[in-house]
Amino acid sequence: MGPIITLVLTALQQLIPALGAASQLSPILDLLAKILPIVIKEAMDLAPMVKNIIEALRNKDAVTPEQLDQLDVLDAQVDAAFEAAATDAEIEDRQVAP
Amino acid sequence: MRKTIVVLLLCVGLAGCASFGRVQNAFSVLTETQISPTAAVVAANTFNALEATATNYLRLKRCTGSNGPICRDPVITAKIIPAVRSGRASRDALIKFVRQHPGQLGASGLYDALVASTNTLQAVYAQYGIGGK
Repeated sequence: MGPIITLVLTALQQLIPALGAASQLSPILDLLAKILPIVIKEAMDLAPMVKNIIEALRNKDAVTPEQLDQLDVLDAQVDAAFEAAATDAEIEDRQVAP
Repeated sequence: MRKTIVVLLLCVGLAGCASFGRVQNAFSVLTETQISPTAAVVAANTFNALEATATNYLRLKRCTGSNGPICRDPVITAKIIPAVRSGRASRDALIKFVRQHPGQLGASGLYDALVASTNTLQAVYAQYGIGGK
């Protein structure tokens, strides 16, 4: 299920700039609301991102400082987890490489 | 006007000016799109979702030749790590712009850089089946 969800999210990312009227957002919000339970079940670590996207789309006319602060917190968590895993992987690969 | 002339010249080389409308639209989208703060936040969260997927992959045991198929391939690792780090820089620059210009539309350059990184990651995941069961 993972790749399907990331495909949906990536497609959304490319679609958003072309959106105009608020009425165009309803189908997208409906889709996200449908996939959110799947995300929570199958890929829980992606759930905060989907929730943030839903919230951003609901407030399409404005991004609040609180949303940006939430994003900062999520960025820091995701980045720290990635760097830890990347560092371990790089060290291991250097040790094993001929 | 200059863009329209360029598109018309393109049209001459294309199979008839039936393509003109589509070329013009594509060109307009590429050059005139300004990114809303909402689009930037959506893009940042989408990238974070891909970064989280990368992290899950990097946590797998390294492939030894006998512990597949769910293992971490060093070749794939070498593609994912720089793509995420590059995308992270684009994400941070885009959100910094949003913070410094509240409520304003932004030029598409920062957004496009983030989308490019996202697309790179997405292509790697699709090619190697990363994130699937």
